[in-house]
Amino acid sequence: MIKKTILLIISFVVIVCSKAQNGADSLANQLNLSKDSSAIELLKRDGKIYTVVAVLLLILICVFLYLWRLDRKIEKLNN
Amino acid sequence: MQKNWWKILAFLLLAYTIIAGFLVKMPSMQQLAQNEESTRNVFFHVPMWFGMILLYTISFGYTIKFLSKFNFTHDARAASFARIGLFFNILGILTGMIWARVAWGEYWNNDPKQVGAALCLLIYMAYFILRQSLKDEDKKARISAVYNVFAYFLMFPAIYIIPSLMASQHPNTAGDESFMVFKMNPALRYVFYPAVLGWTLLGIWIAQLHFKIEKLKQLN
Repeated sequence: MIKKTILLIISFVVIVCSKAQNGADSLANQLNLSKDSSAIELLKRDGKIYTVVAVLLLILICVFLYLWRLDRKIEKLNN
Repeated sequence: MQKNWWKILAFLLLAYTIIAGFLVKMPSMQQLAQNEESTRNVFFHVPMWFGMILLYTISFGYTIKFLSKFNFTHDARAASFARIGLFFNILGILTGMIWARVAWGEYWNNDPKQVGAALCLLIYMAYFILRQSLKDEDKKARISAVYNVFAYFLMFPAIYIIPSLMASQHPNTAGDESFMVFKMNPALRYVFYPAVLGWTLLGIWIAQLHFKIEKLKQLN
């Protein structure tokens, strides 16, 4: 079960990273942030605060996914 | 899914809090020219306290329900919500200490609000010690319910009324000479109140999980 969970989280991180890159790309394009815009470019801007935001969002997503799974498991046991 | 919409709402609110909380431009405050960025803690430290009060309030509500109907499920729920409230209480004190080190120079300044928060923590810890010390289920539920009512009404003087009257360095108190973030910039409320709601919903979710686990334990 632990193995499964770790695998789930890792796969999720990979998905989020790839998706986030696309999302950040279009966001950067829309905002016209830089000419050769990419997620890394966005993360390197200014005081690099976007990096912290991305990290915190990833932590938040993982915590909520874990809670969701835990909720399901306990619900199953209760029935 | 229809029953769980508020869990998704909690996630969205907290994601919004993180994004907006870090990216919103903080108003410049002359008194705190160097600490300007640290006032972002308003979006993370203060919701711990609001969340704590709301969770203790829910616990109080279930206690009143228990005292009027003597249904033991209500007592178990009250205990679960108080436990997660206690968790928020501890987090509030710890995050406050980190902030105090930067803003006031020391982790612990014996600021009236800090002392009041510690007092509140001890009052609610006593609730759990009381619960654990009684073996008889009926006695345990009744006595701890009465104590919980007492604890709830002692919380407000401890963390709000008394510190407001004393010379505290916290905002909105008699000795306040520091920043009044919300009076200065009402726009920050658009980040702050969603943060409070998001953290509270997360707390309710965890409290429910705790309650379900306790229920399972009793069955086995």
